[in-house]
Amino acid sequence: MTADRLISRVPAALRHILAALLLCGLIFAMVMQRAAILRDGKEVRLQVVPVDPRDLFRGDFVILDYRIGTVETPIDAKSTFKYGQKVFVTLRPDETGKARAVAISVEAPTVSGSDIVISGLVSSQSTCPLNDAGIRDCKGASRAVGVRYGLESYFVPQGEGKGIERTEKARVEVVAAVAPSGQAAIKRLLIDGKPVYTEPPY
Amino acid sequence: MFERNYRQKLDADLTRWVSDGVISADSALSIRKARLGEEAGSRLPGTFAMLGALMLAASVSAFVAANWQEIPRVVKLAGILLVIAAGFLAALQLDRRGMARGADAAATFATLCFGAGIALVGQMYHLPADWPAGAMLVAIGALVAAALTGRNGPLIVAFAAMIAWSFGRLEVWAWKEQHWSFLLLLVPGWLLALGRANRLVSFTAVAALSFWLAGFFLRYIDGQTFFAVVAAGLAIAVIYMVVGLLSEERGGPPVLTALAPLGAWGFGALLCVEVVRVLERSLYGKATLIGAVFPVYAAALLALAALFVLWRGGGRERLVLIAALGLGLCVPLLFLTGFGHLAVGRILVSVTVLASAVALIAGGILTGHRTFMVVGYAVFGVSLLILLWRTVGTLLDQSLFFLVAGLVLLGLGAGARKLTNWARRMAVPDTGKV
Repeated sequence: MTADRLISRVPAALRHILAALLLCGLIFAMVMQRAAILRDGKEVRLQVVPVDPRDLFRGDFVILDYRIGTVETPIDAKSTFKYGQKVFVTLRPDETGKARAVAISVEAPTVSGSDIVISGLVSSQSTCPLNDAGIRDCKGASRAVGVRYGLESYFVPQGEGKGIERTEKARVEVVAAVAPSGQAAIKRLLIDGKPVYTEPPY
Repeated sequence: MFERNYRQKLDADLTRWVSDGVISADSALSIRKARLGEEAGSRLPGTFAMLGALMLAASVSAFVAANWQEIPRVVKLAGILLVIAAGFLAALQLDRRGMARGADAAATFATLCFGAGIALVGQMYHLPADWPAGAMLVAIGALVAAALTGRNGPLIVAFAAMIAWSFGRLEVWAWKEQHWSFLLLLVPGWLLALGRANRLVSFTAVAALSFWLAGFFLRYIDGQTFFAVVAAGLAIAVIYMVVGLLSEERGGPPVLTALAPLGAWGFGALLCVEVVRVLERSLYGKATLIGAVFPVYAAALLALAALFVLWRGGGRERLVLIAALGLGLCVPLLFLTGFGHLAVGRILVSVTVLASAVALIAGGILTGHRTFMVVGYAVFGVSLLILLWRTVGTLLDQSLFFLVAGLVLLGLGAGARKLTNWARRMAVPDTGKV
């Protein structure tokens, strides 16, 4: 007996309704998961470096490269991070209120005060750290790990990406919401500290 | 593909037999109805419906990509969900009215809109571009739709999305590890495909399976082990052809029968790669074996033995086809001799490929499998062009090579003619009349 014959024992109307419900449900579940982060997550300000490409199915977007995407590791630390590995990065606001990555670990650390833990995937096992100006500095002995947080794409209406791309990178920042699990979602995009785009949960 | 060739030949034969008075027009009509199924004209509405559905789905996808801000995104999302639900309900209604192809078009449209819905959610929440994950989600949804609606369009979408899922891993260098989780979707997809009689379903199912199997060898594609990748490919192609032929003879599922023509094309393409490789010094490296090739080769040899024992439909002529496949399997082994960089090695490989191509043509003609014949001609023609392009030794050597090969083939032709005449004489009983 083929799989089709087995399934066809269920009435056709029920099967078609079930197909519609399951496919719509899958989309709905994705929406609810992301909306929960925006609604309940803690806010964190991030400095960015934007460029402007296009996705085939989702349109124009701005690639956001974050300062916290490069996390410095101690000089004596042996590299224990693998490409694609899930990691937890501890963020701490500096004097301007923008988050800096202060620690990275494989297990979720316990933090207090204004520290926030964000989760990401290792995109580079070993890279040069950033200096205070945000430029890669390969002269020193210290090394860093590249991390992606799922915040690196920002979709905009057709043609509007160029405007953000031309903006001086120091003027652009992102406010992200971080859930207790460490998952993050972009909540606002700011230029000169003023919100240009705001993301409601739905 | 065999079925299509058979239908075309049967249709042409029926027309000739009626004009020759061998059978009546009514008999021809009965045979046509029994074997050729619905008339081509009745397929047109369904075909246009499917093309229209694809266009509408593309329109929805482009609308999502435009990220038009005049409509609140929650309204856009609700619209997509409504369109998906409407698509499945339309499929149900069309099915009840007996419009199977229209129902297929509607279910396909709903499935593609599901993909647009995934893209919309990614856009709404600025999820990073992740082709493999997106394609996997579309494949899951399409499989669910294919299973519940019983339609072929969603199943084709599912296999295409599975391939995109696995292909996306190449970009992130994850291909160095075998994609085992692929089986979680491939197996249910194949279980559905085994019960479907649709050529595109068969082809996409085989393509997805081939992509997964290729994953075992892709990591060896560079350097000295490239030899082993081609060897494994040839062995898998032979297994495909054998399974396809046995399935065809026993009236097996169309998806298994489709393995034969697709395997034949893969077999032919890889033989051409071998000719290029042995003549192009930069591509020729020391042949290094990898362990994964041994079980595949053993399976291919077993498959050839199974073809000899089980394929009664091919008659004695099947031996020619088995010889073609066996010769093809010998080509990678010639590289192991280490003669590849010498003129003798180049000649050996070229002669073996040409011999395999000729046997494939002969086997295709004798067993009535046009695809094998066409593939044989293609390999023969392409190999000839490659040999002319990359000279083996001097041009005089080249000329001698073609002269000998030409004379051998003419000899074979003459021998085959005598054999045919002898077989005809034996088949006609002696009436004793002068």
